Amino acid sequence: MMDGKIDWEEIWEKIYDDRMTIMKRDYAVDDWTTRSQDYSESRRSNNYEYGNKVLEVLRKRHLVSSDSQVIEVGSGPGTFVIPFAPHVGHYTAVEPAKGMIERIRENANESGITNYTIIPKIWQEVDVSASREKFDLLLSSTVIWMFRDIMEQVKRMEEVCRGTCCIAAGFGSVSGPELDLWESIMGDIPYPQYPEYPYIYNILYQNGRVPNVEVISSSSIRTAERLRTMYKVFYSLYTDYTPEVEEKITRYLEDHSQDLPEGKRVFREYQTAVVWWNPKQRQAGSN
Amino acid sequence: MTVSINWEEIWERNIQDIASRTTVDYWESRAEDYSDMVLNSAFHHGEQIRQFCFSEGLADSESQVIDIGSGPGALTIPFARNVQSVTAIEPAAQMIQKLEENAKGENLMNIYPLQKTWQEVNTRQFEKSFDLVLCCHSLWHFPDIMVQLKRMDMVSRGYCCIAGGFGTSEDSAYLYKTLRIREMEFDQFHCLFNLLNSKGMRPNVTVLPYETHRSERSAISSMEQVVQKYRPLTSKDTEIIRDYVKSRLKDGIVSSNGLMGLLWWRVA
Repeated sequence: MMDGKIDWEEIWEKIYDDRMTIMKRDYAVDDWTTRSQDYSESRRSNNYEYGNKVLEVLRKRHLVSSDSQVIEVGSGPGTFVIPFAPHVGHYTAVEPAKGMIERIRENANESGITNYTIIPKIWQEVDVSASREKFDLLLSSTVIWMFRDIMEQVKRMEEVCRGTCCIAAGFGSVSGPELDLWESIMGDIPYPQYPEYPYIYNILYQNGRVPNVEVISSSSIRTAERLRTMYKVFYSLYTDYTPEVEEKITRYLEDHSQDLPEGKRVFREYQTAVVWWNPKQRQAGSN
Repeated sequence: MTVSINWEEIWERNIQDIASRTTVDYWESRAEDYSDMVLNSAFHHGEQIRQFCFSEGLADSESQVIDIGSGPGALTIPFARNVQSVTAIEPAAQMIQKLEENAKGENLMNIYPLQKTWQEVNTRQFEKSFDLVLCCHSLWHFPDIMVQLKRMDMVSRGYCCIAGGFGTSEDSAYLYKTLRIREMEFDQFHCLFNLLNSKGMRPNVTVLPYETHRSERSAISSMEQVVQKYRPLTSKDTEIIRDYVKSRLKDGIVSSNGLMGLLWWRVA
């Protein structure tokens, strides 16, 4: 099947463990409540450009229909809920952070969306045996880096899915000014890796799945203040958030804000790999 | 702390031997059985790729397409039926002859064969000349894969799409294992997928089903010639191949199903 010498799940675990060794503490659910406003602003950029592009990838393959039952693992502020819900039968959003749940409700209310349910839990706590093959489409966006036991969680995703599983995965590579900021704060400590792709593809492939991929680009537009919250949460996980650290972040945000039609904002463009597969399909010769 | 794997080196190491054995003479001798397969399969895998390219907007009726390693026209013919023109790069004279016969059979006048290896093609002459560059089941001719992919990028003003087997076909894997032919063991798709990503090219991936149908004679001939790339055919080899083909024969035709992996990207 693949180069037998490489164990992709082992590599995934190693990257996870390496990241943990340089963290003061792991992310807590409350961190996502703190981040809900900036995350919501980012995902709402250009009228939910990111979520709409993922929707388009799946719609043009006829994987989304008006009677689809959809579940999402880690819905954040409604990144996919808002673009997808008008085009499906019902949307179930698994999201544990109170702040994110509030943002989903606000954003849904603003868009007149009512065909959704929120399960206020982390994915690992969801009883999948009670929802076996209940959903036509399972979605998850930039969440899987939190799962050390990646195939265990993928198999749980597949268990609730009777149609298509889709993971939107980040490339996780950082360069340029973002890396300069890290080095100015953290010195020689290597930038922590959150690589989801192409690792997830290799893991699925090694486990006999038949995944397709489309790479999309989308923009994120945030005020410096909102982005400051993001950096505060992020750097607090790795170091003491001192006035000196805050000063470096302030300067960085000033340097990278630009005049946009919305006002002074920080503009970023991201690439994301939209990976989807039929959980029942296997490569020939695979178990 | 990211994992550093030299995919270019892995590709080169594994492909060098296959490439050196798969000569133009080899393809001269495969023209008959390969064309038999393509015709008996009604150009199935080429038509699958053609339909995909049209549905994704990689090509349309106005497109000018180049097909690298066209053989008897597995992709060239289905595309030529639907696009403005197809330039077919193919070094084997027998393959070109089959391609011309197959084109004539359908009265297709928009195919331009070039009897050359891809490496011999002057890419400067064709800079940004094509809307779509296709290279299907031919990449094992290129140990210097990145050089050749850059040359493909150079002649494209739209998309590049490279294709090959996805995973392994269970049946052929069993056969080649029995015959101790190792070239099928190297997973070209997986290596190329990682190689392209490691170079920041970030290709899209599409997996398509395909089916092949061929006459008994074509099936036996193709397998015997693969073995002869490695060693003279023994009576034991002949027996294994004939038994295998016989076990799969139905109404005079050997059929098989598989998956193709397409890696495709828009040229910047």
